[in-house]
Amino acid sequence: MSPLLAFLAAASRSVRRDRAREWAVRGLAVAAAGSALVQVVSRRWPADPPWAPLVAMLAGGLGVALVGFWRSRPSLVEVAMLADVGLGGRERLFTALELAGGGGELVQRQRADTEGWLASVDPRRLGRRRLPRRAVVVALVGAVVAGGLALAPNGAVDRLRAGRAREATREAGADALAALAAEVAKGVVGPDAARRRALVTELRRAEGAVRQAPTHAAAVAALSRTQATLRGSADPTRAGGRDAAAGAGAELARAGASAEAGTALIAAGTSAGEGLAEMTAGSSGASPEASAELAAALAQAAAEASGGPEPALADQLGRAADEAAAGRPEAARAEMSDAFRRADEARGERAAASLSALAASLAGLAPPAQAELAQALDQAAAAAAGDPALAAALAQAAEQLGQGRIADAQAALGAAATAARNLGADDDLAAQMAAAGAGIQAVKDALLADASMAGSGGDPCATPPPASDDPSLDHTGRGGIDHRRMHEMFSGDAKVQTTPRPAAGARQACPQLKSPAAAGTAGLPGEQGRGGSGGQGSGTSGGSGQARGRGSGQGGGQGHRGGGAAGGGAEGALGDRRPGAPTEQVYVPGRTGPGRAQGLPSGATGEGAGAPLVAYEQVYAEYRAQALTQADRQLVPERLQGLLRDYFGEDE
Amino acid sequence: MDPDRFIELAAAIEAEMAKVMVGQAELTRLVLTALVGGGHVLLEGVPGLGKTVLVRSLASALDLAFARVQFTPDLMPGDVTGSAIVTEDDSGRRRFEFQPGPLFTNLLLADEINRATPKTQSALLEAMAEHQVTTSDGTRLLPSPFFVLATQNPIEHEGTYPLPEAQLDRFVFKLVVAFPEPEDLVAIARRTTGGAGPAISAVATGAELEAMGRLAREVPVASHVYDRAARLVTATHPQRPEAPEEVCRYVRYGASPRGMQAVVVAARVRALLQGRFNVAFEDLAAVAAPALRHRLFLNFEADAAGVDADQVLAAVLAAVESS
Repeated sequence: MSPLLAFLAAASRSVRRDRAREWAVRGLAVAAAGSALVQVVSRRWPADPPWAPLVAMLAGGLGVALVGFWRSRPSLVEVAMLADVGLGGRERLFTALELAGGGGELVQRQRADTEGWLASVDPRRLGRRRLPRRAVVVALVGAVVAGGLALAPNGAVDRLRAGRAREATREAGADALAALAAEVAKGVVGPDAARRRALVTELRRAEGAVRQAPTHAAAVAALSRTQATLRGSADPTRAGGRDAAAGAGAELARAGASAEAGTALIAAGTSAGEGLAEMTAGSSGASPEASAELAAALAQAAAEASGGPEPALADQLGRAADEAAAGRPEAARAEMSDAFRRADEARGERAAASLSALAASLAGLAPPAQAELAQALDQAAAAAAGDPALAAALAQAAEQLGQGRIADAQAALGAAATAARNLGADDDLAAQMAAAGAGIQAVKDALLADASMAGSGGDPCATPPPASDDPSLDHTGRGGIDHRRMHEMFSGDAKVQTTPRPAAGARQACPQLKSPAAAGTAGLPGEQGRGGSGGQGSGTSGGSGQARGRGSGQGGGQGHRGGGAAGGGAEGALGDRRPGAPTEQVYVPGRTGPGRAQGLPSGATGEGAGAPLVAYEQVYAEYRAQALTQADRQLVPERLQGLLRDYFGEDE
Repeated sequence: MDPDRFIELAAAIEAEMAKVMVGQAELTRLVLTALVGGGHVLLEGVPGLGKTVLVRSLASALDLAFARVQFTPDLMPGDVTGSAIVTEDDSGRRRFEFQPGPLFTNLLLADEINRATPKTQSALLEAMAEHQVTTSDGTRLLPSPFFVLATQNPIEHEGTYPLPEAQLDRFVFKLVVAFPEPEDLVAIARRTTGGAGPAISAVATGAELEAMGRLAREVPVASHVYDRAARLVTATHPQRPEAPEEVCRYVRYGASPRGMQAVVVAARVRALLQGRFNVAFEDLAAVAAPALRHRLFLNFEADAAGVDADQVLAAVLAAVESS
């Protein structure tokens, strides 16, 4: 390499180093200025995580530095010019480089003169330039501003995160509804296909409404409207039939001759599928956690059923548990649905067989036993009012038996057996509707809890977190198994089955959401109060929460001020979800009234056994007067006063 | 001629000149630069600054024929170029014979050239540009080398005829002869008011001077130096975007391409005189004023503001160097 090129190469390195420093400072200035700007802007339009735009600015500054340095790479000609100017070359280098291939005496003398000059010059002196002052100032100021603002708290980020968390909660709820809809959609066949499709449509509509809802309150309102729609579309006769069977069975179980038939009829009136579907509704979804919850519930059900009269059900539940444990919740639910369908059919068959056996035994009964049986049949007929066919058959059997017409009584009992067998008809739709309702309620509860935790600050309506990790304490089916209820459903213990249970998802809604639709947790028609005693509920095996629509689905709107038919519109404990018919029985602590605990078998140890029930109309006036007085005296929180007055119709 | 001989001769000429010219080294260098470049010089200065001595000394050092013409208002063109006169031969026959004028010399000193009429001034145009004179009986070549060193008085304007732009453009340099410093005056007095003054020896011939000129024209000029020179000239035009504010404000007409030629040639000579073998930016800056000051035509505003061509050229140089 000639001395000229060697010198230029060394000088070029110096120039590149110099420019690298220069562009590094410029890049830092861009990054610092950009970061400062980002910090200022983020006070109004925050980014999460906050470091993301800062990283982007740093990357931008680095990019500016790299691109700038790349583009400013000097050519040999430029280096020669810079050296001539910077080192006092007096255009020697540039001229020598340009004339490198030329001849002539003066050209040669010029080249020699240049090389002689090169020997006296240090090319490294070329790169020692000062950094761009403006860029240095911008970098320093920008760094100070950005650093100061970054360290200062940014409330906008907190608000953004809170909003996203709420959105995530709504998305999770929508996902759960989507999973429910997908499950229901698989079984859109058979005689109930249209209703199943309607259920799927409602679930998907609810899913869309929740996803698009701007706030939790709007999402809860949409879910409440869906619940009301589902209640209106429920087949009242299903739940009514089961209630009727359970009530009739309880009456028959009092009499010694018909105890076995009564027990079987009680079992036929219980849909274990609905119960377990409600209990596991919160486990919908394909997540590992949801599958694990479902597997645990199914395993528990299988364990309970293994000691009961339905070993086949236990086997199928066990297989369903295995499917869920293997991460196949859809297969598990399909197995579970099939198991319950078969179990319900078997129960119906057993009830029918028991009634047939009772009929066959009539002729061998002593007259006192016949009289007792006739009375029990009569009471059973009254309790079976929800199933006209069963009620009529039982009433006919009672009358015929009372008149000594054994054959006619046997025929009537045969008709009752047929009616009992029909109870085991495919009830999967009801179970799915119950599961859907429970699933919707679970989503509502999650949104309400999230809203309460976000804004309650000690509000008494705020939903407290679970006090314990004991899953048995969680009766809502979300994240836990109600072992007692599980035992009730699968062990075959009829006494325990009469214990009323709280409605799935029935918890006092927090009215602070200011939405009448969000107030209260209207029990779905499918929810069964088990042989309800007072407890919470409206008496006859339909207690499903406080002043809710009855388990028969008739609670919606009957006799309610402002209530829509079939429970449409506002729902829950307030609004038009007040007790329906004026004669509806309600539990009033400390009050003895003409109402009696119904549906309790002898010896039942259920909760609230023996508590008196009174007609709602008898206590409504007192309720109203007390409530309005409390409100006038400011003894009720201000945000609840409006709801109170609205409920009791103060203006009326 | 090789560069070393060039430098040697130039040094010798300047040394001889320095015997007589006191405190005018730069002026001497510039005059020599112009002569080596083959151009004519216009010297402007008040009387008594040694303009005539400079030219005479140069002529002596270069062993060149010297002629002086004192331009006056009644000077006729024929007085400069020569004219045909009637002569009688031995046989008594009379005929017209051209009598060459003082123009037919190597080094012509046109003293106070602005005193002559434009008609007489124009008589020098052809001679300065083409080194020939056209007379009634044909064209006659002037001796080679041929240089015109004209002088003019910047003070007296009465009875003077400013040189036309076309003729001004023929001069390579316009040099302003500065008043000597006090110490230079002392030296002048010592040298010239005593006994006989120093004698100047001829150290170079006209042919060597021409050879020096040919060598100087071979000095390499890099492309970016040419660019700089071009920008220098274009920046003197007020309509150009690169012209600085001073040009836009005070200049009526800018320098011609002849000005670019003068700058480049002079820069080449200067570089070689300094022992370098390429033209540098500083060479252009050094010769810009002498080469361009008489090619800028200022407007009335410059006259009223007292702005001269040198101030405008300084702004032009600053603008070009910063661009």
